[in-house]
Amino acid sequence: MLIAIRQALILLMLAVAAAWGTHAWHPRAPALYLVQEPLRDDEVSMQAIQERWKGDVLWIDARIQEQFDAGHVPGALLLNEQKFDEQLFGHLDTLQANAKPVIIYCSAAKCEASRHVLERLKQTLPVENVFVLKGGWQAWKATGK
Amino acid sequence: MPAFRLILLALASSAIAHAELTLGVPAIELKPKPEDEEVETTFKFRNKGDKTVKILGLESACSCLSSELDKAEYQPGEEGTGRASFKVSTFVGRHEKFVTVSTDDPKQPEWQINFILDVPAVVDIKPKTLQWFIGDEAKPKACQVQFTGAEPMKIVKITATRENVSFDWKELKEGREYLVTVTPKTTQDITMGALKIETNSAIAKYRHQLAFFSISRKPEAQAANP
Repeated sequence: MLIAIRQALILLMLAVAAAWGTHAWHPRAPALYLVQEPLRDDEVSMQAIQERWKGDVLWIDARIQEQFDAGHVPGALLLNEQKFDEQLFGHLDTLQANAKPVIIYCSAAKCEASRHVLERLKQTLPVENVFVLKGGWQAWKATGK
Repeated sequence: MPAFRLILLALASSAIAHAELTLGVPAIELKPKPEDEEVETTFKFRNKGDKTVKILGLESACSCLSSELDKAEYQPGEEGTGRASFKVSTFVGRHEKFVTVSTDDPKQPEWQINFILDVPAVVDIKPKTLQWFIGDEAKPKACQVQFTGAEPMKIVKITATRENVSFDWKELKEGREYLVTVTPKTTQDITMGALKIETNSAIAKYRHQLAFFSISRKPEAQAANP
């Protein structure tokens, strides 16, 4: 019995040592605890939108038409990379009259469409206070609105 | 003790075994024709690791790009086939996009498939936006419209969305190059507008082009150091 326990303990220690070693030397070892990724310069979080502007912002949806039609932030303008000029043309009056911060979102954390739309928008028109929503549409939905 | 050795061996081998999904090339190149609305391609990849890998999901960085793999699980050494579809729309030039594949292997939890989309330019407008600042002299500014596709084109009509500007255009090289000049009547009010440029292109999506103009406040840094 004692031998079996001793062997089990040795195995356990070996497993722990192997796991520690793998984590210590693996080039892409995952974090042992979850940390919040810092915001990039052009990003805002849902929390910041509420705190800084009480949610009173102009939303731009950078996803494709089908995703926009399936659900979007109320009042959001559709402006994506695929039909950028054509859609921007339709929003000129709104953007000219707008004084609110502009928040652009796409599908989720990994999509880059909102950042590309932000860059093109700033290259095309003198729009100020434009940000990307961190986490995109998933982050907005997670707030339970 | 043989059981102990066996478990030890199993532990060691499981610590080393891993999946390794790889493409044969650094990126998959998609080269649509100017008239294409959508382009599709298939690609081959391989699990070069020594462990079976399960595909948990695919997420594209661009909603214009969708991709799928032929199976949900790949054995060590197995070759797989993927299919990607790109909605060209009005994309022009070279774009790098990627799809992230999530796997069940902790050593390769995510595998990125890179795509390079090279869409030939048929119409090139430079600059795309003509800009004045509030209080600037209302002098004319111009943009150059070049038709770089296989077939020459002509501008047949231009309209402006704001009455605060006048415009005209002239052909510099027949069917290839135009100069469009815009003059604001005043630079007193914030304005964002567009010129709708109609062409006689045989391809429907190139018949309507847009150039933009704006009158805006001078950015603070520039206002301080004019």
